[in-house]
Amino acid sequence: MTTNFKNMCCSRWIVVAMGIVLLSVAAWSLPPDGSAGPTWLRAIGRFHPLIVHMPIAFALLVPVLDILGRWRRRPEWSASADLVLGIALMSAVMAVLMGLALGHSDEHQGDTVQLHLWMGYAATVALGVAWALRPQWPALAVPSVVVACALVGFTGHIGGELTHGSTYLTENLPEPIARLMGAKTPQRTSTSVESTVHATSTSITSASIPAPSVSPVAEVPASATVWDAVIAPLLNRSCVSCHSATVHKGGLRLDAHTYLVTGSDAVVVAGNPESSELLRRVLLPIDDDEFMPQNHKKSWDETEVSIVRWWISAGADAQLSIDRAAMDAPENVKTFLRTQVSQSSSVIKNLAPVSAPTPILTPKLAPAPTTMIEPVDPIDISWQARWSALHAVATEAHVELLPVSTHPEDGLTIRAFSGGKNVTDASFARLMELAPWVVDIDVAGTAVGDSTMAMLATWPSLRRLDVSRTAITHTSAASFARMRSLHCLLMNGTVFDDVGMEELGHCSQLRTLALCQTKVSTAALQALRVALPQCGIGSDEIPNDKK
Amino acid sequence: MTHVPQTPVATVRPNRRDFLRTLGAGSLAALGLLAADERTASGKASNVAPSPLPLLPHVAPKAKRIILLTMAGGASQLETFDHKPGLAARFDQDLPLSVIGTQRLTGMTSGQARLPIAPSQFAFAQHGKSGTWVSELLPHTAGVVDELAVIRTMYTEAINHDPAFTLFQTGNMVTGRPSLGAWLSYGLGSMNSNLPTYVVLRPAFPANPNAQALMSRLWGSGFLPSEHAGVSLRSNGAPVLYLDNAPGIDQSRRRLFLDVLGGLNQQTLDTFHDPETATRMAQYEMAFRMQSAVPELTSLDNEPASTFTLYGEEARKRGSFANSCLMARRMCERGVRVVQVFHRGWDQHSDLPKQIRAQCLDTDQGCAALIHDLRQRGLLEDTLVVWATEFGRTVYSQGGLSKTNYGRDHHPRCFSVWMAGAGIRPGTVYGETDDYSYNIVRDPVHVRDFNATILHLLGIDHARFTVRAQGLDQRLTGVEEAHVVRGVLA
Repeated sequence: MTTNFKNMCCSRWIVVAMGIVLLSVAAWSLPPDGSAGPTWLRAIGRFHPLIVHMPIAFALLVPVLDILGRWRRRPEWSASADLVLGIALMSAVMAVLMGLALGHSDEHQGDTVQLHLWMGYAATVALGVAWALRPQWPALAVPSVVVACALVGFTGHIGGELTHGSTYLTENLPEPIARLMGAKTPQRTSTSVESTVHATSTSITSASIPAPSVSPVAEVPASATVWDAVIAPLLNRSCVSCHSATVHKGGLRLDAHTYLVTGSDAVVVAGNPESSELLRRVLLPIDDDEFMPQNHKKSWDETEVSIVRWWISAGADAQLSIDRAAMDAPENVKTFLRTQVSQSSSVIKNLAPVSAPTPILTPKLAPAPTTMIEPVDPIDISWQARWSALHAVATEAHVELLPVSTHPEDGLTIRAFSGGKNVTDASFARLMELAPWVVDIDVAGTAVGDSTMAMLATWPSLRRLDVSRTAITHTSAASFARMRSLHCLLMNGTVFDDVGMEELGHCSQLRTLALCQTKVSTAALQALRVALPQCGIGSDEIPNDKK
Repeated sequence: MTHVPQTPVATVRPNRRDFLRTLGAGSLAALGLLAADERTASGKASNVAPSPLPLLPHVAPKAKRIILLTMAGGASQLETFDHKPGLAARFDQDLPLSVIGTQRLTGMTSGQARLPIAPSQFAFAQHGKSGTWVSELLPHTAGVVDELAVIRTMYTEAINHDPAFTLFQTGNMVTGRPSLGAWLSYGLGSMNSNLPTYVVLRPAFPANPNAQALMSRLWGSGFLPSEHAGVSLRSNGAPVLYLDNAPGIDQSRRRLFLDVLGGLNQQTLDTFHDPETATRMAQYEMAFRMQSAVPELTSLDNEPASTFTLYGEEARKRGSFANSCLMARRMCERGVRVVQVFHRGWDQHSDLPKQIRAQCLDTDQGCAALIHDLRQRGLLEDTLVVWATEFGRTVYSQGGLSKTNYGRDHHPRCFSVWMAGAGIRPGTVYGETDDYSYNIVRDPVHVRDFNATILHLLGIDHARFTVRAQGLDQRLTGVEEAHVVRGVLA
């Protein structure tokens, strides 16, 4: 009996020692080096995720049986613990061997993989020790198996991270709990744009380009690089869980710009999207073995692919800034970039319903007034900032400020239909700094009067002015005479009267003058028509055939 | 994927990005609207700056506004602008088959034993410095003919009202496309956030058994967000129903109500991202602002007596064509981008002389007064006025032909329209039809060419003004080649 018992103890230690040798040899000969091993090995390895659940389940059952058996005084439970532990050990060995096969043959590489490997090794050894010492030292049975279980559990957790990504477990937990569990904060690029992508991918079912307003996202300065603002977040979303510092499947890392473009087997060939492996993979049919990302839910939509394609063809430069890029990118890319630049409604304007590319604007200015609009590029940052300032001024004055067309040299329009009586001489006075650019002003029906006209007299580019139904009087005639670019003046429905008519007679620049519903007399009208033969002058007069 | 109610053809995904894209879409105005909403809702001005350069208009526009005078039913070119003096001698002769060629006639006349030529009963004369021929039915129009560019060679493929009218309004015979006004609202946006961007007026018309119905989709927004659809003002009673506050509700209570409702709608919008929710919110706010803007618009108290000499006393009567023309001018003065006046009853299959006389009497003075009035007020230079119809009428009589009576069937192969105002070369006559006003001899103008010309005058390159829907970069002028009619441009 004693001999048998001793024999059993010895034989268990021998078995464990042999097992350790076997595992060590296997681990040494089957390193996870990122390469693709033989197919048969991979075929075996692919069963690792299946088999791995057995040692976990059986090992966890052992302390349960031990403890319950003692507590409930059911020795048969405690006795079966030994058998279960044996099964756990055997399945652990199988799982480790399959894991080694998988790691060696299926392009696995990286720190996390190494950690998983050695933890699995350690857990199996711990199970073996617990199994071997159990007959000899019953007092150590439970503690040893608990230690082994802890190692098994930790190994399983690392395995889960390999499969699902490092934040899988904790990312949906409330922040404090997640932190308590030691969750790493998600990787950040140098700007905070990445959160855009995160927010999007969780809020919209089909993976799509970041929606500007889905989440409160920090503004991205237009000087940010395309890499930081767009490309890196896309890679983070779709690729980095398998291709990073911790896991680099296929020997590939995509967590920094340098890994994309350097090396003979770089997945991005700058300037040549067609030769870039990155694009080839994402464009494969979704059921192709080589299609990336393997998690289809993370795949890129058409717009995102086109952004990446454009970026590669533009040189795949990490330093390419958004504002520079926006100048010669295709329209859809520009649109996308603009959504990145400024988050809120200012985006709206750039998303015009025009699908054809807008020609790059190289503004040439009307030679005339020296103070006129400077050459500006629509995306130019300083102009953007200046425009925002001007627009803010206009908004305060309750008027709308609008470019006449896509050509900067066409100047700006001020419209006050919406502002109505909120637009006063006082509010309009704030618009003085707009003077150089404005060619057309509609203030019909507002509360502006003669002092605004006096101010406008110095505006060099003003060609059209509608002051109908305002409080202007004949006093403004002198101001109109000073507006040398003014071609069209509408004064319908004002109290303008004959006193100002002589001064109007000096407005030889006018081609259209509307004086309907004013206090002007027929005689004065006749005189003005003589004084301004080039000008069409409208009044309440009825054509002869209608009288 | 959230279902998009009411916009089944839209391929836009109903998320916020698409909402912003479609809502804003180049429209300066949509932004202005949003900004205005923010103002009213939050009580402080929005500091959202629109982009320094919009993508529309492509070039500085000639026209900022457009008034469409639309004669629904197919106004006869033979009784208005296409003078065919040679026909008198051919009264009651059979129309030569060589003229008809291979054309299939409508079922209304294809069974007729013969197709007798019916010369116009009405005298034509040359008017103005341009010497444009105009029928005696349009004496007032004749008075402003030097402002007009008459196109006598319009043509269409559609031979019945609905497809022809749908084609004219939306660029396609198949329904579901946005109307011209909706395209313009979408592309150019509002100029006055207190009034709709695209207003539709449907005045009364002389009693006529053949008046075709008007469907609201003719001014609809198709696959564009429905806020771009025309807003039809009623011709009787309140111009906009339920615009006034209910008894016991004052303005501040109304504001409170809208703020609370807006909060609920915002929740729905945040949940479902349906652009139609945004449209609804925008329309509530628009209605709030319209409460003061519409009475000011429709009140004629400040119009001088000369206005009613010009437009006729009819113009005092709400819902008359003359009143609609006057309204169109008043809306132009207040920054409404598109005004479309639909005048029904031009479908004279029988009893044409009597009916068309009444139709012309009803519309002639208003049209001419509008041109004259816009000119006097300095608005004609940046307002485009279009008088048009969906197709013409046959030279042969439908039904019996007598010296005093005849009818005319639909005729898509040629018809007459006119344009006036911004960017139009005044006093122009464009195109020439054959001796029977049946086929086009020179300078044909398809509906899509016509629409391309309108867009051109508004500063828009029709080929570059596209919206992706149903897998196609849709445009008003369709997929076939369209040409701007340079011959009518100044």
